[in-house]
Amino acid sequence: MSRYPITIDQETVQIGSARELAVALDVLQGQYDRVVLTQLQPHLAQIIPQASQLLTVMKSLSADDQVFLIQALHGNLARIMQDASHLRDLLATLAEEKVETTLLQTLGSNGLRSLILNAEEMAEVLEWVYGHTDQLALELLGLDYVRNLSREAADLSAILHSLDSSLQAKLVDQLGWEFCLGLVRDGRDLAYLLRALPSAVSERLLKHYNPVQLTRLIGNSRDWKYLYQRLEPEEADFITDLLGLEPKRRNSHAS
Amino acid sequence: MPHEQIPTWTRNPVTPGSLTPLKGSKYKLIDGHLHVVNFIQETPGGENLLDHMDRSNIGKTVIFGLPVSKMWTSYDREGPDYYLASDSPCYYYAYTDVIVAEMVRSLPADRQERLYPLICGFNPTDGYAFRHIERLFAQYPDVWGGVGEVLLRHDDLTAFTFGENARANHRALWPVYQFAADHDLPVLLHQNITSVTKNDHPVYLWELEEAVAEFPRTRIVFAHCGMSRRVNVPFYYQMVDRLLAQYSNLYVDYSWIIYDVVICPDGKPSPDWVALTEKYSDRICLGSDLVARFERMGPELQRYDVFLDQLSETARVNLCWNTAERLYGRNKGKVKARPAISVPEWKIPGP
Repeated sequence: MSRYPITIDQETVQIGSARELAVALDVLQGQYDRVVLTQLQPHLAQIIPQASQLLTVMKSLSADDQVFLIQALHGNLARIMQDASHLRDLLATLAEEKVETTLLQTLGSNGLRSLILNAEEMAEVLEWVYGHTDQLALELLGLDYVRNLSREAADLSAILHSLDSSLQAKLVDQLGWEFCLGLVRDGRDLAYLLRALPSAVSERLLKHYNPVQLTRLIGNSRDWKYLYQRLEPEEADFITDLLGLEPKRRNSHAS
Repeated sequence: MPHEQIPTWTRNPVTPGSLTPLKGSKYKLIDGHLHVVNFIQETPGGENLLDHMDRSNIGKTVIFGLPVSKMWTSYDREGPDYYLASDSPCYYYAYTDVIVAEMVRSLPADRQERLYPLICGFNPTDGYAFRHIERLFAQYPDVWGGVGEVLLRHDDLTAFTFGENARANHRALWPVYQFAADHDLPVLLHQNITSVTKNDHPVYLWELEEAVAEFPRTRIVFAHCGMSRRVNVPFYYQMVDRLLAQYSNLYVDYSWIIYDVVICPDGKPSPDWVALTEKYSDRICLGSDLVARFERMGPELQRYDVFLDQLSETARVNLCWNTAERLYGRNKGKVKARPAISVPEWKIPGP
């Protein structure tokens, strides 16, 4: 293991791993975090070679120093993160939006795309960011990449589930109805999407079908039951009207 | 016991930061209590351990695995890395002893001498537990220096562990204690003195006392004097004083939170504990009780300095070195080298 010196108040120790760095920051009582990081800056990628180790150090730092560390690792960050599950775990522990934003921006489009390889991974990453950071993640990944990850309605549903409701509608609009409707091949696909969307957007989706198309799509009573049981009351009323079916009483929906 | 994610050593923003604690105690000592694997049985390895011992002024270390392993269940999206990291159960993991033995044997002989490994990977409620110990001594006769840390009463960990609740007076341990007595080996026990909400009296102490009294030839080491997180009782030093006075085969280690909670609260040594330690220093060891976080050995043991400074030279040397050396040193190879201590033949007196 290669070790690198840090010197505080004329006292020098050698640091070779993330754990050693974390304990050094601890004994310095958090009073020299930036000084230590600056002294080690050229070697931080060697000291912190993997995501679990990055997590160890990040837990010892204030938000400002977390930002400093992420930026110091810039070109190595995607390699250090290894895969989407580690990015998810790191985002889950971050409490400051500016740190999350810096992490995503530093990873950049290429870094994020190298980590997030399917819709489930994208959904798990989005699960731990909110608001503007959600939007930033989508922008960095790009609509074409989101389309590529959304191979089935269930994929798009998983991604939508992890977004704020305002962003759900926006993403559906950006992806385009043609693309979204193209993912719906049967009643179950329809159920996936309707379940993920707020009812106003669901109604917009359903309006793309006439009763004959909808009947053909759902196909049989079993899939109709499956779909119906997963709808919010407003959605259930809307689709029942659309299909010209006898409406059920509201309280039976919840049961 | 084992703390990993909840360190004993914590930041105090009003204390001036310094790199000095990384260099360990100013007194060279034996760490009498160290888990070299974590709860998913990972270890940084023997070279890493010795490296950090050197950096932390630690001459020798009493090491052991962890007898239980945390399950990664179907409901854990993230793999839990600590026994409290999720609701998943723990199960007895005998291979922990093989990990420790192989870790030690991978080191050069002169470096192996700085480690005193103990056997812990058995279910203490299994009547066959002693067979595991016999098997390990047969397989690695020159490695082991005793038995421990046996995890018995341990609040949440007890609840998480599959099977019957382990306790110091479980009859499955009787052959283990006897084996240790027969071969003059120490047994290090983790036995909470009480349960989490019974902080007015030690409801489990009698279990320990039954074992210690039943096996007066077995040297039993009471890990961190029976204290655990959220486990405390009044009159602690009087209780430990009575136990040490009453049972000459009982030893204790000062490790983990016993030090911060009652021995040296707020960094100020308790005069009662200083007096008790002077009285029984030949029965008390020091330890870190870290779980595979070797890089924390320095700060963990350096925090004892303020207490050690208050002791006489004799007591200090006993705590830092002599007691642990006498308990755990010179035990390797004992089991194969000589038969078990035999009972004198009974001769019926003639008429």
